Amino acid sequence: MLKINDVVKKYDPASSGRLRRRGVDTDKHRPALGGVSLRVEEGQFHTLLGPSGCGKTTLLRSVAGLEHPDSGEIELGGDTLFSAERSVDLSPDRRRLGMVFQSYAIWPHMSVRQNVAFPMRVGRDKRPKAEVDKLVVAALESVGLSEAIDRSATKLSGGQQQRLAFARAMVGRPRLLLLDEPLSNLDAQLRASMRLELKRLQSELGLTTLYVTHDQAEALAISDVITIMSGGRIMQQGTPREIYDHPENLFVARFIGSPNLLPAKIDEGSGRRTVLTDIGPLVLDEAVPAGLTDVVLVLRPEDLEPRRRVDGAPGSAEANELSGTVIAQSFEGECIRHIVAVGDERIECRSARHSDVRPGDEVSVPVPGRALSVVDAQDEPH
Amino acid sequence: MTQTLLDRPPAGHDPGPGPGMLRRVLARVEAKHVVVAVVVLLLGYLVLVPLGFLLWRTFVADDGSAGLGGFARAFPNDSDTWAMIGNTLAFAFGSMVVSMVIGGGFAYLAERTDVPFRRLLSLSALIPLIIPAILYAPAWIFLGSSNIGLLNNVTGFLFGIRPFDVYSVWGMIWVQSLHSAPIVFLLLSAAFRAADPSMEEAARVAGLGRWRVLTRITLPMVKPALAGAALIVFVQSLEVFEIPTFLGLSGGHYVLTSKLYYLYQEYPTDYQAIGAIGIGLLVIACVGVWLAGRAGGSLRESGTISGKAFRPRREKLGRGKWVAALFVLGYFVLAVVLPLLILLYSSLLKNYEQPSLQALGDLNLDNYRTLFGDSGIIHSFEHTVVVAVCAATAAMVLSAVASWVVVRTRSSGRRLLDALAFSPLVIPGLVFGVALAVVYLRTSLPIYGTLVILFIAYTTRFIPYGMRYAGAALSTVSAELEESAHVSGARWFETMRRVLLPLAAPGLIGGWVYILIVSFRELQSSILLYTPGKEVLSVTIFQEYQDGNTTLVSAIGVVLVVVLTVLVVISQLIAARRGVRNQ
Repeated sequence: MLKINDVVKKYDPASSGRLRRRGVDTDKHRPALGGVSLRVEEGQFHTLLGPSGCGKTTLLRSVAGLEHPDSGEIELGGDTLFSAERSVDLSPDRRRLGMVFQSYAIWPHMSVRQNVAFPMRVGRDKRPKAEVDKLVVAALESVGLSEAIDRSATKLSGGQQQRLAFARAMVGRPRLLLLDEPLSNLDAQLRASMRLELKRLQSELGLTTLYVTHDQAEALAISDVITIMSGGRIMQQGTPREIYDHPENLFVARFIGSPNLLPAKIDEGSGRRTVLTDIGPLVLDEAVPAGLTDVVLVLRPEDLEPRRRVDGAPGSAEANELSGTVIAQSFEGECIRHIVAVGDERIECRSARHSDVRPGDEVSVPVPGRALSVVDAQDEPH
Repeated sequence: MTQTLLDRPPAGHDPGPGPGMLRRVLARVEAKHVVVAVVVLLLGYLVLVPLGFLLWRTFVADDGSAGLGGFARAFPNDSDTWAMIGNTLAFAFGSMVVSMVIGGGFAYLAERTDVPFRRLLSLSALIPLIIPAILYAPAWIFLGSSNIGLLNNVTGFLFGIRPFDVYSVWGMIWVQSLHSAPIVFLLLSAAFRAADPSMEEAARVAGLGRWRVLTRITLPMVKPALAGAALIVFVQSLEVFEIPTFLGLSGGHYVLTSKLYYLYQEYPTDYQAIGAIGIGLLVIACVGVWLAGRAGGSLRESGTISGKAFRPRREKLGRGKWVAALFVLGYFVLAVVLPLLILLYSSLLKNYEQPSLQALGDLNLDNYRTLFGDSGIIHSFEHTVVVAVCAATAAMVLSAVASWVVVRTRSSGRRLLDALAFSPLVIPGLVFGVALAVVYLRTSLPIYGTLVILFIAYTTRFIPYGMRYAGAALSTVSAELEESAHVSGARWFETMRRVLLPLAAPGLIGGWVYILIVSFRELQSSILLYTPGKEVLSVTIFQEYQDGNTTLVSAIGVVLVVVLTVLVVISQLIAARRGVRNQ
């Protein structure tokens, strides 16, 4: 449906000052987008995820026609939206998209009805008034704003403005829906419920969606496919589960969740299933692909539950069990976080809220083989 | 081969430069590009062409020989020349210092202390808008001249001295400073409001005394605003024409502007010498811009008052409070009440008399009957309205588009466009008048001798004000509001008309009214560009004063003050509504 081929965009001198103040490296030799290619399939909910300044919003705005890449191609449903080679750059109004902005961009001088009707009252394919009225009512109904239809748009609460922005973006059945961090201005509780509702609307209407966020929990919860970006490049693409369970490089491993990362070597003798770390050998369920030697082992705290060792029991000789001492603990409400000293390493673990492990306890931590993954130690984003 | 013009080039094949390329370029041209190009060309024409002609006429004599003869004739090496240059600098710097002290002092009192009567100060800030310099000067002649001055009569009666002389350089400085102090007051009040008081509180907690907090913390915080305000007042005092002519000439004190006007009256007109003086003025103004720029002040920034306002923290003045209050009251009486009263009083007398019981008995409405019966005056009023309305509209349209380019686009030329649009601020009105005269006396276009030349002059001179209002109005409208309209399918023109214009309208209308107000009092370029029968109101006032009809001038002045007051009230109402809207 949406094809993005090798899009490059250099930093704009005008915006790089603003980005530098936010701590983004805007070296002019390193472009904002360094040759990005991706596909979004029909009906897919595709998320661009990455830290501030990684190029995700630039990419989204390039699809919208609000930014102009320096090279590459963008195609939507067979139409070329942008092509540097053929010098095509359709203006935003000709791309037939829907977009929700971070600030919602609700027009304050219009009523709710006028805001939603606007996309069908302007541009090349204006629609008759009766049809517009029907579509407006239907769109507002689907986001639960029917009773506010004749209110002034500025009288709405934050959550309602959010719904209005969705209604406006979806009303003309756009070929592609673009969402630029639409939930980031809502408070935490509202954000969680809007997340579900957004997903429901998207799948009900079968809208192909490109979604930008820096919030990984949001991305994991809502997406069909996630593309992780950093420094203007794609780091990994996959389903939320793939990304979480099998990070392909150190950047993704570090960025998703807060895993323990241990330098490790492959034990060739074990059929590449055992890795050697400072805290002993650990066995993986799957063999490490050939070609990797220096690796980093990714151990997610949520897979590691410390258990108090029975007094007198010997230090575990079993494979895939760590033993150490709990040196710090914090109660987080949903769970308890433990820092366990294993040799010279500090390993973060989680346990259920009713765990009887206390700071100072000697513990053993079973490490399930399927929870382990490795990434190349060299694989840093450039 | 003619076929290729219509043929679509095969996909994926680069036809290279040629007809296909041209057609594609044309296909990508939108309404946006046409509008912006037209505005940029117009701006360039309005600003650069007159300056170019002025330079050419200054350095090239009528016989085509280039040289500096104009400078030699304008600035002969004699004591008069040095006195004139001395007067110019003394007047400009003196007015700058005095108005900075008055305006800055009152701004500090109003924003940072608990002085009573703060409302009076904001009211006095409207004075330069309501009483233009062309009326302020005559009013102060009635108040402070050595022979008929009312203030001299009072002190003469009480103490036997007559200390005031508005015809001296000090008198000129005094009148000019009273008139421009409100600008300083407005700019610095805004700066004090935007300066975070917790910085001062931190300094107080750290043990600094009140005076050291003021000099070491508060003033450095508002330094860019100080530099900007000083620059504005300096340039204004450099280019002001009314006060040096009304006051200085009677005392024989020439400054560059009055010298320029004097030379312009001579026949045959020596454009080289006049141009030389004009360039002298421009150079001094540019040096001022450069100096202020080093301290962080700019003409561009001053004026768009922005930044968030903090909760004010007011120093308790204690017993000093009532001394300060006395200063505020005294200032209000001197700057506002007395000039207005004396204008009203003198307008009611056929021949000016000192205020006395007997004079009160002589009050009549003769001047007003003359005024409303004089078709010349009525016509000049009509001319003013026509020129002001057209110029305000043209200037706002041009500056709205130019501001849009500056605020919204990332085109490489936008800084240049910004500088171009703001440059008329440093061009003194008389210099611009000369430049326009040079241009349109030379061209065959039927512009010289019509109101059109005044329209061109006003439009160009007031575009910077338009830029301030339009820039502020556009930057309050978030770019995402435009972008979302554009993505929703609205073309550029629809986006402008249905989203940006309605949202920016209050600011744009505010700018329109402001330009209307300043157009009503424009004299500096009008005085050089009008032709008999096509006078505007300011020129008529000037002529009536030259003819000795001083009390008729007062009557016209009173009418003008009423008109301007109405306009100022309207613009204040718009500003207030805008404030409500932005919340």
